[in-house]
Parts: sequence; structure tokens; C-alpha cells
Amino acid sequence: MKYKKALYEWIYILPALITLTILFIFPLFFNFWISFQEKSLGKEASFVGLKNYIKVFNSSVLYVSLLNTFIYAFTAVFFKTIIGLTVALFLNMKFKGRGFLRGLSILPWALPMYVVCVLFWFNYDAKGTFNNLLRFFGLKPIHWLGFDYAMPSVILINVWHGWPFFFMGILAGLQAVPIELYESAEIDGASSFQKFIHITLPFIKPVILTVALLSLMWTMGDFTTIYMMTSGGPVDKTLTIPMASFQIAFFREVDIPLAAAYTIVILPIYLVLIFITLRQMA
Amino acid sequence: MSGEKVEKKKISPSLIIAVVVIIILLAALVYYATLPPKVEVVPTTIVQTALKTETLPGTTIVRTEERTVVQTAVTTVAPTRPKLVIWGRGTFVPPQMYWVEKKAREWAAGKGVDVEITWIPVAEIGTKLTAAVEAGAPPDLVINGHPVARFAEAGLLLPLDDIVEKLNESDIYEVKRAVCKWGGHYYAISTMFEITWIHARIDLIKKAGAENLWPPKNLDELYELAKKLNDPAHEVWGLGIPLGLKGYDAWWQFQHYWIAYGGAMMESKTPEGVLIGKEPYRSGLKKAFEMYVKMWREGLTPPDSGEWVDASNNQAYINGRIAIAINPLSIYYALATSKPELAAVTSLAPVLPVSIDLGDESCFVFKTTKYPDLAKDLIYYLYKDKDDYTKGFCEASSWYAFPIFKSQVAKISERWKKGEFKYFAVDPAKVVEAIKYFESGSWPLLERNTVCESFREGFIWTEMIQRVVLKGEDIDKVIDEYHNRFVEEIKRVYGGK
Repeated sequence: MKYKKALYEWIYILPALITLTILFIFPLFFNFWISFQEKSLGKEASFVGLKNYIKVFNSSVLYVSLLNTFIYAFTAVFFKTIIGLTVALFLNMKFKGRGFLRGLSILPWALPMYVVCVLFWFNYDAKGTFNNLLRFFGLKPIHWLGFDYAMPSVILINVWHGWPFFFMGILAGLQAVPIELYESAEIDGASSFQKFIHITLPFIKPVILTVALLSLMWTMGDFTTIYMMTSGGPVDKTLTIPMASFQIAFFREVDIPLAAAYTIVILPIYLVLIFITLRQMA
Repeated sequence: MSGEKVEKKKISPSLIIAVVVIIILLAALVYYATLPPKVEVVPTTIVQTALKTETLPGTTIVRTEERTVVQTAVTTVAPTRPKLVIWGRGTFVPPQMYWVEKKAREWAAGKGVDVEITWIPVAEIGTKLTAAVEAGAPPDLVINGHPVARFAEAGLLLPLDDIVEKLNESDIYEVKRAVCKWGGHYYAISTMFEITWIHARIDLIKKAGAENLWPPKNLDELYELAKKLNDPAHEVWGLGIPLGLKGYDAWWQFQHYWIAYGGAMMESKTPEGVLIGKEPYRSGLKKAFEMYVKMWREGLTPPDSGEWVDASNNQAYINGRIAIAINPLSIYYALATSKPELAAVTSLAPVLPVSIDLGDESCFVFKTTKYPDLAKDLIYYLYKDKDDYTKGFCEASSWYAFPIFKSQVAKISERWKKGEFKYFAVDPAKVVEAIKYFESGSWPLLERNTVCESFREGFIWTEMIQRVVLKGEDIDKVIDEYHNRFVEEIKRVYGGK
């Protein structure tokens, strides 16, 4: 009986296991294996030990892209949290048209990233929406994707696209807060701010943390925005980890094993984030 | 659990059947995936005098004095109609793609072959081809695509000597032949000359009283002209200088200055052969940078040109934001087809003293193709009727493309002399003949190689230009850094210490 039960269990999880192995485990091991190889384009690979890793650590690209990725991801997540929280608090209140506004708020997140980037091409253009607005208010136009503003500009796109995810998560968390607690607090004479700090925030803290961690991982791995808007430039101003590995693999060195080593080197950062997220979710 | 009644569960028969079916399906999948292709053994002819010959079924091993050559003597028999997978670089002038599609389908219909043509954007074709090669699934052939050198030097392409011979080798311009040749063999055939022209607003030149500077004889005169035409208060800048990271235009426009002021890239594929930072070539590059910095600081180009992609200077000229643009005739093509009033006040002159060919688009065949003869025959078919190629691929693009054949350029020259194409300030044949440099090639060593192609395809040169012009880094420091970087790449790709 015990064995039969175990057999059942294995049979049920077999399809998922096979899919996971083919789509995730195998590529991961292949990536790890190839990072110790040297391989010319279209040729067989040969073992070179730690050569690729030494090259990665000796290259400034690793440090520049790491720094840029942290700036990009942490800044974007910070603003997404603030905006998502504010809008969620606002749309958690009861008023006419709330449902419509909730639906409207999800719109940016519903758009595919490349569509958002195309929209922002027009916004960031020298004669685009944003500069026309600046001119309207008598201000000088900004070169949004130029050397000085490229990073804030790509962060803005990420924030614009990603805040509704925070809003949805936090709103769900807010709806789970028992109303009785607010009623008791009101009887005790608590102010709105005190209610927020002592009731709302402790309740939604796990939600905020989970959403923020998930978003942090996704933002660190965001390729489309950088590729479509700046390709990592001007110079290396917006060169993030995904863009740098793409460049190493296909653009510049055209060296797949080196790119693999690069991704293995930064893998622990993602693993730590995944670990914290899973613990948080548990 | 004691005393608890445990119900005995039986494995349901439907579950067992489902598992068996899945196992059979998986086994069938594995069987067919590992099945070798159906082959027909063709008798082999030994082509060399051998010291000792061993014949294995389907394979002949020929031992010569120097080495052993294994000639596989099998021909894959296609179970269905042959199909060629073709990739091409999408161009700015759609008639070129229409012509290629028409010719390829015409040829396919005649030969009983299926063709699948995919057009890939300019900035992505290099990446996609590289990824396809690494995945072991490149297209059969590429029409009007790039890069080439990285595949040719890795021995992944089929030689096309016989096609070049059939097209009359001596009728193809030397510069176009040189950049398609590796180790004495042709592995690609260029699809066109893509000449850079100075597009200038004659109405603005007259208004500024700068007729004496048109056409400019050199880049210093071009600078003077741009200065006279510069009117940022009315949002019209003198010259469009592309400086964006994700664009080839930034590279080749600077390349004109680099060569014109006496700089050089390499004289041989060795670390010692790199000339970028060596005197007297270093001074040439330095002068080019100084000119660029001067033009940027004086505001001769729109302030957003640091963000431009390849189409941006086209757009800037078409929208009247710049008075002068250096570009192939894709700008003129757009004006002629959609803004004739601006075309009428636009004049074209060659970039002097150095004219560079941007036409690195080529046709080439991957060795992995199952149909090498068909693929080569299709390439031959595209060029065979040279008049049709000139008319359909070149003239239809308003001469964005110029033919690679001397005989055809001579015909264009005759027509110019008879009064056609008067928007060319000079005989276009003279401009073609003056071309000695190539966008993705090196100089003075005239060849396309993996390193110089990668620096161009990977926008590494563009990054170098941005660092000096936009970031304001020290020119000497930047030259040293990119010289060393180029040397390292030469060592990595070709060896040497």
C-alpha cells in the first residue's frame, strides 16, 4: 500500500518533473558546464578550467553592470512601492468610480513591455510629449536618453509599467485587514496616521515585502527596457546585468562560454533573493 | 493508526492505460528524434592520387602525403520538395526586398523548390545569425545580410568562387571582391555599393551666401559650411552627427574623419599590426576626435544626436532639423518618394577626401545547407541578369544601392552624362571608382575580418566615440584603451603575443 501510494505520487508529479528538467535543470547545468569551456563560433567546446571566471572578475564590465543593476532595480522598486502603496490606500476607500479607477490603474501593467518602450520613444523624443510639456511651461527640453538622464529615464519607464503590480498586491493585503481593529482604534481615539502605522502597515508588511522581492528579481532581470531604449548606453551608463551578458554572448566578444561564466557569477545574488522571497512567502 | 480502518485502494485501469500510452508516445518520440536521416549511398570518385586507399561503406578515406582527407560520399535524399531557408537584412528601401522576393520565388518556381524568406531588422541580424549558428540551425543562405567575416573565418561558409567566375570576376570592383575573400577564396558576394553622400539644402546654402563652400572639398570645408548654416535659434542645425550607441551611422560617419585625418586601424592580423594608437596614425585619430568634440561643443548638431539611432539623421533631415546630412541615398529615396519639395532643394556631393562604402550586405551560404548547389544557383540567379539587378535592386532604390559591376556603373555614368540623375553634383561613376575603404573592413589592410567586424557590429567603436564626445574623457587615454582592447581581440581570435 505504501509503495502504491508513493507510485501514485510519482506518477502525478512526473509530467511536471520532466518539464522542469527539460526547461530548467538541463539548461542550468549546460550553462554551468559551458562556463568552463572555450568555444569558437560554430565549433566544438574544449575545457579551459577557470579561465572564463578569471576574465569575468578582471573585467570592469562586471562591476559597472552590477552597480547599474542595483541602482536601476532598487530605485525602481522603491518608487513602485511608494506609488503602489499610495494608490492602493486611496483606492481602498469607498467612493463612486472606485471600480473604474481600479481597472484603469492596472492598464500600464497589462501592456507588453515592448509596447511601453515604443510609447516612451515618442515621449522621450526631442519633439516628444515630455519635451513639449516642458516647452509649454517655459522650460528647456531635456535629452531624456542622453548621458545625464538615461538612467532616470529607463527607471521611469520601469516604474510606470510596474507600479500596478504593487498596487494590486497591496490592495489585496489591505482588504484582509479586519475592520474591527480600525473601529477599536477609533474608539481609543487613534488618528488616521496612527491607524496606518500601528494597524495597516504591520498587516500589509508581509505583502509589501513579498511583492517588492518578486519585483526586485524581475527588475534586475529586465532586458527589454534597456535593450529597446538605450542598449546599455550612452557609453555604459545603463549597462545592466542582462544587457551585459547579451552583449558578451552575441554582440561584442561573441563568446557564449564567457557569457555563461558571467551569469554564473551573478547567480548567487538571485539565489539569495529567491531564498528570502520563498521564506517570506512561507 | 491502530484500530483505524484503512480502505484498500486499487490502481484504476484507466490510469494504467494512460501511463502506458504516455510511455509509448515518449518512446516513439525518442526513437524518431534519434533516427539518422534517410540516405542514399552514391558511388564516390577518388579525386586525388592516394598512397593507400580504404573504402568503407559510404565513405572514402584518401591518404595523401601531407594529410588525410575524409570525403563523405553520401547524399541526403530529401523525402519531400527541397526547401531553402533564406534570411535577409530588412532595408530602408522596400523595393529592394520586393525585388529579392520576386527573383527568389521566380527561381524557386522554375526549379521546383520551396523558399522561406525572413527579413530581419538591421540591428538584429548579426545577433540572430550568431545565435542560429550556435544553436546549430543557421539558414541555408543569407541574401543581403551581415556579418560575414566571423562565419567565413570560422570555416562555416561555402566557397562561391565558381559563382564569381560565372559572373565575370574582373567585372566586379576590386574593393567589393577584396572584402568577400578569405584565404584566397570567395565566401560571399556583395549585394551593392552603399555610397555615402553629403545631402545638403541648397536653398539654405544660398540664403547663407555659402555657395563658395558647395560642394566641400574636404571635411574642414564641410565644417565651415555647417557653421554657416547652423541656426539653432530656429531649430535648424548645421550638420547631423549621429552619436547614438545603437547605430552604425555613428561609426561610419566618424570613420570618414578617422581616415581623412590620417588615422589607421591595422596593417596585419597580428598584435604588432594594430596601428590605432601608433604614431603617425595616432595623431590622425586624435585630430578626428578633436574635430568631433569641437563640432559637438559648438552645437553644430542637434543636442539629442547623442541618442540617435540609424534612422534619426534621416528623420532630422527630412523634418528640416538639419541642413546637412552625411548618409547613403536612403534619405534622398525618402524625399523623392514622400517629400518632393525638399528633394528639389537637396543636392548631393561625395564626402571628400575619403569615400567609404557602407555596403557590407552580402549573399553567403552556410555549409550546413542540405542543398548547396541550389543555394549557390539562387545567388547566381540574382545577379545573372545584370541589367535586371541594376534596375530592380539599385535604380528602384533611387541609387541607395549602386551595382557592384563595372559594366553597369559605366552605363549609369552614360545616362548621367546624357542628363539623367542631375541631383548628383558629380559623375557617380567617379565616386564609385574613388572608393577604397569599407565600413566593416580594416585599413590600410583592406579586408573584412572577425575583429574589425565585431567592433563595428558590437558598437564598440561607437562607445569609443561617445566616451570622448559625450562624456568628455581624455582623448589619449581613450585611444590607448581601445588600441589595447583591439590588440587583445586580435590575440584572442588569431593568436599571437
